Amino acid sequence: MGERADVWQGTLALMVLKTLQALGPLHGYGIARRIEQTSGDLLAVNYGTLYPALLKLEQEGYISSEWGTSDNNRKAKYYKLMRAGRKQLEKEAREWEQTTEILARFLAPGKESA
Amino acid sequence: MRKLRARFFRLAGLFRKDRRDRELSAEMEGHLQMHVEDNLHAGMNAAEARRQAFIKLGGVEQTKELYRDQRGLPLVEMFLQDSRFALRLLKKNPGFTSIAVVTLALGLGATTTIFSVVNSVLLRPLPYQNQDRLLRVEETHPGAPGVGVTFAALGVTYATFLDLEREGKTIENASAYRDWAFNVTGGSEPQQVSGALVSGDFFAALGSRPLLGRTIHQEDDQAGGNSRVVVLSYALWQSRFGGDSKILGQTLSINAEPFSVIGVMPQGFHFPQRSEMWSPLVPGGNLHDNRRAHLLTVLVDRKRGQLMGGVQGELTAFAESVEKRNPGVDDPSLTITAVALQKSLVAPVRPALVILLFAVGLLLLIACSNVANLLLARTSARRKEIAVRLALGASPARLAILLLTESVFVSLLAGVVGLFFSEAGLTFIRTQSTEDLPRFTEINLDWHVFAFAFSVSLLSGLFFGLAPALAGAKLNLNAPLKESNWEPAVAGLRLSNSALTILQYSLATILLFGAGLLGNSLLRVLRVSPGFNPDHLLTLQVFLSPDLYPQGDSKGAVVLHEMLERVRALPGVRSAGIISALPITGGPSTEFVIEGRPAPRLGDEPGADIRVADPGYFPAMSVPLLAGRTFTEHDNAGSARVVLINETLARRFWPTPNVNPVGQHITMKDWGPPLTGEIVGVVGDVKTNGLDAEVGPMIYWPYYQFGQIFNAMVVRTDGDPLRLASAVKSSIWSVDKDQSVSQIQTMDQVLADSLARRRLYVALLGVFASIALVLAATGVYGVVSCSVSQRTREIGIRVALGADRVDVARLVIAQATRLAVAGEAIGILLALALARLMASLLFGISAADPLTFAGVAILLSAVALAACYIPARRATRVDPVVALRYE
Repeated sequence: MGERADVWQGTLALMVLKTLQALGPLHGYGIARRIEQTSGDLLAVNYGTLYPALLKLEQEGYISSEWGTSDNNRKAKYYKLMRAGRKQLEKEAREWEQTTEILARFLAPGKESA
Repeated sequence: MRKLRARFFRLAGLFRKDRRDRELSAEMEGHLQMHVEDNLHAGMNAAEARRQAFIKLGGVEQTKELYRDQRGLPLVEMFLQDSRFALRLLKKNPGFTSIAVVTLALGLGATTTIFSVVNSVLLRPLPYQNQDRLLRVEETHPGAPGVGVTFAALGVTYATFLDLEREGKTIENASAYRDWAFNVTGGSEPQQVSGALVSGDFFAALGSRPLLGRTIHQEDDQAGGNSRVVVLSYALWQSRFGGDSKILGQTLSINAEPFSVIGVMPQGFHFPQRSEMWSPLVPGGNLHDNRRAHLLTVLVDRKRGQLMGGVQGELTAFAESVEKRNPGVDDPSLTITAVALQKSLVAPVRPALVILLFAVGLLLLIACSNVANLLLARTSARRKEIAVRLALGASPARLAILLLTESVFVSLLAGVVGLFFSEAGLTFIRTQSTEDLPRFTEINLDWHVFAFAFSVSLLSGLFFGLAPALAGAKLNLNAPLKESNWEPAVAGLRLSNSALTILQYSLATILLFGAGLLGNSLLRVLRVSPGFNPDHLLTLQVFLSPDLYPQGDSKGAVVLHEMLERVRALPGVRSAGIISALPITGGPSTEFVIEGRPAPRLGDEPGADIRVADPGYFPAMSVPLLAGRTFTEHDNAGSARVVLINETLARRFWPTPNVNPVGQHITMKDWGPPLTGEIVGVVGDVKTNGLDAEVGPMIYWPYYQFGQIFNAMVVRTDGDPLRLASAVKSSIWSVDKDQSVSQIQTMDQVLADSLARRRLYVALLGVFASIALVLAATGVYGVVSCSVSQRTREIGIRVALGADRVDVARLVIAQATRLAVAGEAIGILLALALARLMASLLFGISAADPLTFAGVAILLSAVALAACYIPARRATRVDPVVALRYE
């Protein structure tokens, strides 16, 4: 477990938004588990990174929250993607793809001589 | 947009924190439980499931902390938290808080008071149109080298005014006025009203509009036109006419002529100084055609885009051309200069205000260092609390901010209290302000002052809070917690304590020295003999209407003689006389030549003050006759013209002891056609322009040869002069019921008024210096008594080893003396350098007066010794056994 990396601050917001888009309204625990699973357990999400990030997204109006009941009858706060969040997700995803593409070109072996 | 929205939510996050905290706890608890359940499903036992969940999720409290930072605005929250803490602390230590606040409020109040004056008098623009381009033109006569009066600034002749108006290229909107007095009669008591005769464009040039009716126009100011119109001030309208709404068009009897009221000016318009009434100047007449009668004050606007240099260039060229135009008439040595109106109005008080502002700056510095000392002492008392905070992880910067917040709170509180002090100070200044303080009626607190007070409070809070904050943040962590021996931790504090005390002492030295010099000057001025006996002397102005009693007409002399006789006949009156202008208060002057001597170059004639007196004046005033005779009733229109001269004129122009000026002839040049009179006597010098001004040459003309419209009556009485005031008035009115009588006051009052400005400066600087002295004394007391309690053990050891009381007391006194002497030495060096700046305010004393220096040094040393009396006594009572057991 110790070797699992913490999530980078900047990318966590994107992952949260994507998760909410894929799964619909979800509580904090669910979001954390989903991110960990999707990453193939390469990432670890703890309270300290998750909750301030959720609050920030809510303050910015990308997501909203509401108390609800979980599958096993536990009171939990559910987060829902808002329209602004959907747009932001598209925008950030595009930017992210672009960044990774550029980086990939730089890092690809031997290409620069061609 | 998103950012703004987030900012808003974060601002909202500052409120209802408890509920939000509970929600977060519930959410995290839920998260943990779900995690534990999943772990159980995965096959762990209960304890392990919980343990793993905790490991995974990290610290609950840290998370809450992070979450809170995101939720609110950490900086604001920190500020609120610090503020609450600071307020609680200040409330818990009312003694400390009130001493610190009052100390600082004294400094801030003094600073705000003087700044209000500076703001209202020097900084605030004049309330006139184009005020930034409004200039006052002055003609200056350099005076003959070595002899006579040097005229600082003369009025402008009517001819020059017309030329400037017509020919000015760099200037526009020229207007002119002449101070004037109006006898208003009819209705209630006859009243003398001061005001001005103004040219037709005077009001237009100032851009001042009337409250009612109209102002004076160009058509009113024409020879032969209807110029019998007046504009009233709001105050006069209210006081004499009860604010009568039908005042416009009414006819007033002014100087025994009918004038119709055409307008009323708005409240506060009193230009030139204290004017209550304005009437057209009207060209023509002897004085207007006289190119040597410098009677007018001329205002011009600098044209847009023109620089002062350009205007001055044109005026200089103009002054040179004047002589060529009128050879033999105009003074060749005359120069014409222009100064900004505002600057010229406030010139008499500017140096003193700058010095006072500087003085309160020093006082504020002293107050700040005093509070800094207090805070330092408290910081060392709070060393444990600070150490605990540092140990719990507060960064030194965070701690410094906490301590600074406290000082800023003290300073802002002091700023508010200081505003009350300064309102009281301004009330005092207003009661002191007499006529010769320009713009002092406009002094008030405006938003400039509030902004100034706020920023100065804030700055001083930061300033005096800085030393304690830095000292607190640098505090050695371990020492205070160990309690026993924390000396090393506060050594730095004690050093800065001493430095601050030395600073205070040196600043107080400067203030006391300045106050000492000014006070000494005042004492010297008070000892000056005015040249007459001012006791039991009643003075009043009797202004004869020029229309009733034209210049040179004997009718005025006859009437005035009758009035004098009736006043002299009153019981309780010993003697009475008439003079054209009272001593001390200034008056007209002229150029003169002595017959039989080579005529000086035109413009190089010596000058002399000129007064017109009746025979009774000199005995009534007890002015001594030194040679020849004084005037008699026979020196009248029918006899040869005679004059009296004063001692200075006699000494200056007849320096040889055996040559007697009596019998010589003297010619006066500036008043219409030249007049020659025989010198029949020499009288003693009388102070002309103030007790602190040199007496120049003076020529007296007899009243019955040279009738005057401006007259002052002096009445020597047996008892209190003011008790005869109404009897004197009735006597005058029994001759002419419409004769105005004004400014009834004792000669003592005239003398006191002439010193009002000087007294005000001495009072203000004296108060500031006294506060400085008290603050400096408390500073020494604080440092010495703090050090005595810190050195209790050392003193105990000394006593145990055989030191006696004298040795111990000497130890304490030596410390105080070191501080005081160091402060005084620095202060005296600075004061020597600075005192030269106030040389213009001094009288009969050098800016480096050794006696004042000695006095200040002795006073400050005595105060330092007094301040360490209590600590020294405490030190001598240290019981070695108790002191040694104490640790």
